[in-house]
Amino acid sequence: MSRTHRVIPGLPLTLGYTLFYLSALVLLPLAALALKAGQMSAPEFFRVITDPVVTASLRLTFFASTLAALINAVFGLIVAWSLVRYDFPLRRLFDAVIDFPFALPTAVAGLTFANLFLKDGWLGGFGPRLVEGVNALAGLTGAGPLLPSGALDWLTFPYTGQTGGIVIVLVFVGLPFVVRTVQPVLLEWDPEYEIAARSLGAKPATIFARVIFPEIAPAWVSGVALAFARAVGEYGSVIFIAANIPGRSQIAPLQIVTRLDDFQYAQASAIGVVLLAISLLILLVINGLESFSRRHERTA
Amino acid sequence: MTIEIRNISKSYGDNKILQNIDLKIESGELVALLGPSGSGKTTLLRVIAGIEQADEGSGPVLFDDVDVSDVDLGKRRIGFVFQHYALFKHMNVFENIAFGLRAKPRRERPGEAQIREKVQTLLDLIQLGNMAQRYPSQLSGGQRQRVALARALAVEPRVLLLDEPFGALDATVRRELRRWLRRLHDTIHVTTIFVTHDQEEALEVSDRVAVMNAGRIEQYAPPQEVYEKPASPFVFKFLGNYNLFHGRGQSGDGAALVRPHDIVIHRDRDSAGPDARLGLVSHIGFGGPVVKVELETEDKTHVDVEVTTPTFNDLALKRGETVWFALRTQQEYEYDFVI
Repeated sequence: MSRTHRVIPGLPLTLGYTLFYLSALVLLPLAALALKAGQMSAPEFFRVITDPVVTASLRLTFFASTLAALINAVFGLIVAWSLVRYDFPLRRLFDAVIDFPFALPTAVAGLTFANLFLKDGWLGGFGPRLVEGVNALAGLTGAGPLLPSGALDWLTFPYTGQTGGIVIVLVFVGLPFVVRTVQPVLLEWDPEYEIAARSLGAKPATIFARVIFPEIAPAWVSGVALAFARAVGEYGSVIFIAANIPGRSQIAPLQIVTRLDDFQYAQASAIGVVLLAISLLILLVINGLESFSRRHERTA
Repeated sequence: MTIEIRNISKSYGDNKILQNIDLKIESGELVALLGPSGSGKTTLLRVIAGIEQADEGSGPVLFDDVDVSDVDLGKRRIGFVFQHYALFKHMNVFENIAFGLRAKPRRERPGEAQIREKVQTLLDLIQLGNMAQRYPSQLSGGQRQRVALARALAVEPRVLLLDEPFGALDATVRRELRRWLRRLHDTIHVTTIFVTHDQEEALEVSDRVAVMNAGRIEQYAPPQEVYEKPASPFVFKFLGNYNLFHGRGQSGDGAALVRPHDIVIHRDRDSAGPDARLGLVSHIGFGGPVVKVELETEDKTHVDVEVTTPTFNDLALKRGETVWFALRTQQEYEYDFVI
């Protein structure tokens, strides 16, 4: 190592700093968490994590996070593609809007979504609201109500205090990750590859599947992984939109907070440990996928 | 296959890249589009390929007398090789070459065994038989170039179009590869057009050279004719080093262009002839088979002369000596061009 050229002077210093930084900010708190959970006896630990309410919350967290990550995988890719490949009015504005979920306090996002999707919200009660609006306008012109009340009652979105609503906010908080990881790769993409493929007679679908996608896949997979990880840990927005009924619509982080409120620190830590362990496992698998998609970059 | 283009123009905004180009290429010919950067040669190649569309009002692009102007790039059955190869980085050499075969519609797609056989034949042709499993990043520039060529040839194109095929390679590999390309062309006889800014490359390899300047073809002729009978001062100057003499034309005022190797140095006045002039040897540069001698005339202009090394040794020239020099041949032009 000492014989290779260094761009930043002082490898021992930078490496030391990196290790210290990671230890102090990531490894130490994680160890403390594990230690706290370790204060329980093994049977006690298992009793906590196999509690139906806890397993249901873990299942909901991972199910909703996976679904949200998959939705972001598809639509994030489309958004990134459109922003890079097409020029349309206000493109730069849309591009800037992508970062909103990063900056917006998630509790605000949760509240906003909840209000929109409530029975009386603009989207939740779209049909009845439309009838009201039309009739109010008709009233202004002096005519009677145009539409009988209840005419569009079927045009509502079911109250999304369940999984649906949770997935919606998780899609929201995870959106920027896929877009922002795929975008730079698409920007650097040399159109000559596409022309070459076209000249060889390949059709657009083939060109995307065999030429373009393999190039953006590594970035795309890491973007999806980030969106997934973010969704697993999300708390603020979810608790505002979810009905939070134990065993049905309560996410794992809420379970942890509930235990903390009852001063059951060890139990909270136990759930945290399981949450982390499963996340780690999934992220390892995704990382494996990513390095598989980069296999051609390993040069002999 | 013959290629004929008639009255092709192409502009980007007010910038005229190609102006009323006509060109006819016979079946099986190897033609070079030669010109400085910005002369439109790459654009012309891309119009022939169908990557770029000619301006409204342009004439047709004919392949074997059939108008292909509106035929999509993917259906023109051309093989296009990019200057930087554009090999698919995530595919190994085998898959790169097989790409065009696998991309065919199901009815026309050859079976796996046929694909293997075809790719292997091409790998042998490009002398990379044992590199099928390598990725492009593991190949040298010359090897990548040959893989790009094999990939283009796999779909049996009717014409091969090469954009600065050796532009990104070092001198030795360049020379080797262009001779290889000539031999390859003599084996497979596919009509080939390549773009280059290197006159030596164009003259050595091609059957005919189209010399381009500012969006026009200045001359289109076999290499020897282009070199010996340049149609314009531009062609003369672009094809090699030259000396410019003012006011010495035999038909009145004009300019004469002379190649450095068309100037003969003499030690004595008698053998030099009546038109000989005096020059002071101001610099001597050794270049292997030829020696470059710089002379300074009485009116302080510099004249570059190239003499073969044996001749140089016979003359035993030294710096600071005064010698006679005479022009062997010269190309004369009236004073109507900008130097």
